[in-house]
Amino acid sequence: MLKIANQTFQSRLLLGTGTFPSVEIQREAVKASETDILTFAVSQMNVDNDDDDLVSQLNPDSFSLLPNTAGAKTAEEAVRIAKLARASGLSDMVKVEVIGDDQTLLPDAVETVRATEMLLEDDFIALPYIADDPVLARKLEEMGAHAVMPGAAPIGTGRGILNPLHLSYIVEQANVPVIVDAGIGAPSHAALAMEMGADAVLLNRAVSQANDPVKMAEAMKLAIRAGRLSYEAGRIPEKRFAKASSPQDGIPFHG
Amino acid sequence: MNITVNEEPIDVPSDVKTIEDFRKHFNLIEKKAMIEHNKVALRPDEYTDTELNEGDQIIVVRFVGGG
Repeated sequence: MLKIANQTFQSRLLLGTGTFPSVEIQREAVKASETDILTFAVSQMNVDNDDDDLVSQLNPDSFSLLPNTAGAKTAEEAVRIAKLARASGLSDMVKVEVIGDDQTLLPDAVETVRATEMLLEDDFIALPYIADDPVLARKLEEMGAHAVMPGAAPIGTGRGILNPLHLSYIVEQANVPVIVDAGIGAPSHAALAMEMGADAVLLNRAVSQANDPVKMAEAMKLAIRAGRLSYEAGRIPEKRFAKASSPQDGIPFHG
Repeated sequence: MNITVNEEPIDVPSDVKTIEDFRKHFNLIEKKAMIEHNKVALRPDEYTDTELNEGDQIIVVRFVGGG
């Protein structure tokens, strides 16, 4: 069970809602993923001509909403977006996302810390998206962040966990959920994050841009479950030399 | 009355006096839209009591796909 602030969730897969080929495929993928948390962005709406309502199209009773502050480049912008998202009355949670570089889309640590501070002050459940920096993760936790969301790799690159050592430091020290966010490309990446002890994984394009998003959603669900089970079971340590599984004594024939 | 909506100047009829009137005027009642009035995000229970005045800045947003 994943626990964020005072809310509990069955699924450890958080799914983004961007760049799906169609709403129908998206709906099926969400179902196949069995996710409890969907992320959304907040965007200006054309008041004269806009009937698009993604939340309603995705059966909102069956998941919790995690709005993000995508588009924000400063703490103040992130807070403004977060307040608009909360004004929906649908969620107090927010993924604090302040991007500091247009090419790599890496998060701006300074602005993310400032935004998180302001949002916590205003009673948000704040989940900052950060680089895989153990010191930053610890400081955000000390400030009161309800989870930390270190990136595996830059957003949308699908490269998997680039720095497993840093991620292991973050996981081992954290007393709040660690949600690996961004850069996941394949189920093996998600499984590895979970094997290492991450509490959850957030991904989007790995599913939405797969050739078959519905099948990939199921693959991610299974990978995350498998990784979690492995973490709970405790894997064997790596050894340099072979260790037989079959008995070495009492074999029938000796040359 | 001249106001700005999503940073564009718009002339609304004088009987649009509150944010709730604004929502009716633009057929936003049934839509899941969130509204910011002069840089303050409004809760739904504040729509009726929030007055609209000349020069006010309104931002109307909704949830869209994102990760």
